[in-house]
Amino acid sequence: MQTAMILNGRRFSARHSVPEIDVIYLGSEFCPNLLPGPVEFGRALKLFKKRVVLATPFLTDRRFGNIEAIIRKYSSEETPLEIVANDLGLIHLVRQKYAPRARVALGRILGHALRSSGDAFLEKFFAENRVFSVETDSPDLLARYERFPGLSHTYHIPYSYMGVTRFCPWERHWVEEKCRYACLGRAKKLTSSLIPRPLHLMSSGYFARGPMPPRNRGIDRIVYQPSVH
Amino acid sequence: MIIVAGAKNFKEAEWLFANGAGEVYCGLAGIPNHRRDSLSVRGEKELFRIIDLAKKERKKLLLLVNESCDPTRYPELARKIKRIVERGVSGLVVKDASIIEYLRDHGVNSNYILSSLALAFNSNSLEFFRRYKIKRLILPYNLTAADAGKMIKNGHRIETEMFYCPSHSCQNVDPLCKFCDWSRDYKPCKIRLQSENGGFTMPSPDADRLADILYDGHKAGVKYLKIPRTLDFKGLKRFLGDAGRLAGLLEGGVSRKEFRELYKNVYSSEKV
Repeated sequence: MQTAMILNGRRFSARHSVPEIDVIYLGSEFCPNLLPGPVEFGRALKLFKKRVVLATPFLTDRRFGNIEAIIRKYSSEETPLEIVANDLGLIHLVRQKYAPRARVALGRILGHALRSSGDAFLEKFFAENRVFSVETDSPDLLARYERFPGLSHTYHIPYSYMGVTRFCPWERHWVEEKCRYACLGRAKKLTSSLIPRPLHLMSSGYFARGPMPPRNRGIDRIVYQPSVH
Repeated sequence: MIIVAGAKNFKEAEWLFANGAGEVYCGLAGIPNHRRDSLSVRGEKELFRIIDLAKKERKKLLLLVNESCDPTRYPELARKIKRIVERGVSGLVVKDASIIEYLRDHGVNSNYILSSLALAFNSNSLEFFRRYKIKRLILPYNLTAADAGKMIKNGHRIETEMFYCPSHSCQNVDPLCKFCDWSRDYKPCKIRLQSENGGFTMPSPDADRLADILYDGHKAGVKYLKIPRTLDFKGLKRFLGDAGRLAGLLEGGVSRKEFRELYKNVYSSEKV
């Protein structure tokens, strides 16, 4: 089983490298401001000397330029770029323009949104879009996608996502307004006697501590999410 | 802008058609839609009366199918929706590509309108959904018009609709949020939480930002303005009155500054 760690795509350094980690996820499934540009992506490849996966959230039009630049510069048919995609538009674009230079893992947000779709629809969707893997962070989500043969499965620890916002909880403006990266290096634990579990605010996502990955379930990769970005 | 308003019974639909709504939309109990059953028309008989009224008024009635459901229900759903379409409903508001595909494959021919819950945040997503021959896209209400420009001006004659949302502003992206399932009584997005640095409430856009969505959406060419369903008929009347007045001001070329000021005084309600 592989191990991976997710890092924001803006500010990272050699101290983030852990020898035991096989793969780096660079970017964010929750905030577009934490996506790397091509410069940062290249720097991560040099710095970590490991496979770097591009993690992406759902996207507005202005975000595609950097992603396409990364695909063009850092992928080839021999070494396809792995992209965690949470946006149907990105999946469509990759299929139309960049297959087989890029291959898609279904991100947690989109996996959650599509979980109620019919099996026949999902089989076709995975095949047409060359989705090779599904990211999960709960036994339920894992169970939903385990029935599809040929997919690999990734499990994120220690947090399960609960919600995602486009109105930045740190800077209190739309995420598309000028970001000052106030969330970097920070997290908030949120509690109340009225909610069953504490929440953790990280970037533009709210999370709860999730269960550990279930044993003997064919998980191919564990992704560790640090408590601060 | 053409006002599209939600009704939960014949009485509301009749009032809405008579008072400026160009289109009315309804959920029907038993057909998956995103809101609670109390906001839906109770049975087919009443829905058919509303369809007949819309035809008489030469206006449109749309049916909501904007929630996922167990795929084992798809055959029953298709039969029911086909019956309603044949009776004369003008369009279906759908969220899931999986459901649109099933309905189309099973002979439900209607005008498909992509729900704001479909996660279409960019023009590439719109390209993805084009294969389902959608006629209209309802913009996610937490997407600013400035960021939706390419979708609004798409070259495929797909019309766009946006929410009038003076009060209906979930802090989180609606179909991706698990808080509604987590706790029925105390949603963490609606209460004050504690953090190490004191209290914390999940923030919402302020009135100026909400006003700007509508102002910029109109400028960019959004054709339809959607009024949410509400439990409170009096509130619905005020929503429609304010939305109609604001749409009229936009048509008249009101300045952004003036529009923002007016927007601060519109009626808002939590009963949606």
